[in-house]
Amino acid sequence: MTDKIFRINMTDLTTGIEDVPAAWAGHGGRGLTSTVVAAEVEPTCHPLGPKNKLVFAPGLLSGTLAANSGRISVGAKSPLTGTIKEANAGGSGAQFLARCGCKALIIEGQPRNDRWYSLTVTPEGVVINEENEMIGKGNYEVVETVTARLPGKPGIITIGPAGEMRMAAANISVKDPDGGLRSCGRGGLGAVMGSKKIKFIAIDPGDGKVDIADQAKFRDANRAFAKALVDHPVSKALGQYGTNVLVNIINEAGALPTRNFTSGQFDGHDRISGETMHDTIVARGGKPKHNCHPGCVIQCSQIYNDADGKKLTSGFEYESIWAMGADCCIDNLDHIAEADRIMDDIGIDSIETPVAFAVAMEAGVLPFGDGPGVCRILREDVAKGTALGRIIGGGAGAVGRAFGVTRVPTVKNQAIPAYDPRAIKGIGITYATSTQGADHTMGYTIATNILGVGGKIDPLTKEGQVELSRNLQIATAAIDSTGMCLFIAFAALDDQTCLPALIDLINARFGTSLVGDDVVNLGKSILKTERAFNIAAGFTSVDDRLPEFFYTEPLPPHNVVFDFSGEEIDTFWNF
Amino acid sequence: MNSSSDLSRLELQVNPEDIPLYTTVLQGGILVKARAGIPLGSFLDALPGFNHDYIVNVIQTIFLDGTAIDDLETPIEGDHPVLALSAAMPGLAGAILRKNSYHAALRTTVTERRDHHQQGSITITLKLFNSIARDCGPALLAAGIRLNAAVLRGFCSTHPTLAAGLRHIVLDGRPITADSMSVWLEQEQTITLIVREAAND
Repeated sequence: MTDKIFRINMTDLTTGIEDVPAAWAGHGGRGLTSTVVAAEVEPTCHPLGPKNKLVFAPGLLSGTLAANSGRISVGAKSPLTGTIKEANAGGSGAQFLARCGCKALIIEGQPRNDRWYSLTVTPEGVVINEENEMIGKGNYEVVETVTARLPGKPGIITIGPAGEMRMAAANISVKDPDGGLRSCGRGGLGAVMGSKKIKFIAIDPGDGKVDIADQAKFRDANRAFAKALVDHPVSKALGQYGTNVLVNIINEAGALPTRNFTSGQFDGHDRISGETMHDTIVARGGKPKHNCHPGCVIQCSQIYNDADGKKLTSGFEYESIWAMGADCCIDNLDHIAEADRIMDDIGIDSIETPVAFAVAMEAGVLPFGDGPGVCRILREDVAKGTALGRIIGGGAGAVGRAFGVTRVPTVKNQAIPAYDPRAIKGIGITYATSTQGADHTMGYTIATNILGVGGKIDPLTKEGQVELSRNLQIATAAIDSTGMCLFIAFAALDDQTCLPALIDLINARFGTSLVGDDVVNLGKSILKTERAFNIAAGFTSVDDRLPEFFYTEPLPPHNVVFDFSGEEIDTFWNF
Repeated sequence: MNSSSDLSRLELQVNPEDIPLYTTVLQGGILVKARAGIPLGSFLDALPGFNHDYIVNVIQTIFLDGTAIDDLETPIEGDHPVLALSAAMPGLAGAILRKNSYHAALRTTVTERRDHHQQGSITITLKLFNSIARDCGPALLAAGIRLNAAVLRGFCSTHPTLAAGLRHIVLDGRPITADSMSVWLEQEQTITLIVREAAND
């Protein structure tokens, strides 16, 4: 099946199928969403207006048997940050879109009426349907009802009430193989989907399959790739404890932001740690190891049951547990899990929202540590769109502005995630310079030495450290452009066979002859494309800064501050 | 090596399949006496369940007083040093903090405050995380560990179902009930804990 662009115009309610422009052919995932948004969206447009476009793109290897290839990327201009934005998730959406022959789904325009719609995607194209029954419903009910309504087992991409209300922290959820939810969490892309008046997208690939140019080469490369992933010690740790394995480590480093970023260590860390979570899951008959999409061999997800053994949430990630846990001083995993489930159902980012709660706690809206209070506000205010709920649903920056709090941990208005940049300064450079607001995944890939983009300047100098950070972001953008799960990065760092096997997979899939340098250049090109969009949208180097308090408030226990000047940070873009 | 004759000894005899779950208690830290200034690698090598290859190859993340450590020859000093051990960790932070990492330059430098002339013995708080606890914990628990009673109380509160698998509880040679153990733990400061497989009754 040849890949096509599926385009939907929500202004005149028309759909079409187009050939893939040559310039887009080598892109997938973030590489493609950012390329399309940069090419087709006016940078100064209102993110919730008709000129913004919402782009869904599977990875280059989605729909094949390649390990960890089932991430779906969503891109648009962000209503939270005002920058270009990509967020991605597991689930079955990417695999099913790819099997429909859909290289990208581009949604543009905006209905002129107040009606809501859904989309059905098949290999034949897209059908727009008016939708009434699901409006106002939570994501879990949407997944359950739509699965029962449609034949087969459709892929489902949906927004909850937060997206319908166009809250700036609204996410987009993707149904996973077990009927759970995976979230394209950051940047408020759910609000963009809500602004297009699309409640959900159902995907039915039927018998559609993805073409492979060289089956034998693909099989061999996939075997080597999967082996490198499975054998890596980080993959093993992720499989056993999930990403929450990081709580104890980051706490020990004094970098676990606690009580709205006023300390780097949380007294209750061992009550919310990955080790304690693992034991709790086992004791309650949950699954400590679980895959978020078909073909994942790392299985860092898990199913967390309540005390009665009933499923409470899945995909219970470190960043969400840190944010609701240490940052809000809640040391009860069940309260955090309940909040996680509610946030998934409402369809709101589980990093942005808890950080917003922590700022609200500092403002005195509720006490630090009040887990039941958080759940109550999520249910009664955020889900129902009261004034308080809309402020919290607007993200940490909105809460800070509404309540006059100065300690607001955001960059480009996006909440800083689970690593305090005062205690791990390299991450601070990434937060400051990321094209998409504070985001721990932007400089995540650490295969710089293998990709040949390792630093040339002494890394002990600030100049060298900025260079190192830059190269991390280039490598990450390169991996993101393949649309693979970011957790392949660890094996790519240490195992010399991993990245070559990935490149072999792409070549076998498309009949191309890519080499490592091509991937690196792709990373540079994506970063520059995203940066150019932001500059055209009005961003300057002044936006590449951490909030003032990181420079002035020493972080216990090490009592350190972030010490990179604006001029030093600005050298990031010297490439 | 960890037990001390002047402390009460609490022995938990448990079902064999529960032993790995008890290793999570090690995340809260155990107290180990050692010579002041002992090199970190030598200290670990002397512990039950550890060996040189494991220390070099599997323990990939080491913190001493909250600072990431690369050199196994680093002396352990200070009034109350805290040593924490982990396997290789994910993410950029995991990479930055990893032993001898290519990205170690991105760490924040913390001012050293070590006294290199310290004599005598010190008590080290040793924390074992994730797979390191699972791998090395059973041998440590069987040999006996010294820990603050609060750590065990916290562990019991987050692992309420483990009590059902306790076959025998022995305090200073005398059998006691789980309820008695809870009451006793509330009154204690530091204890010696032994966890081992129960013999077939």
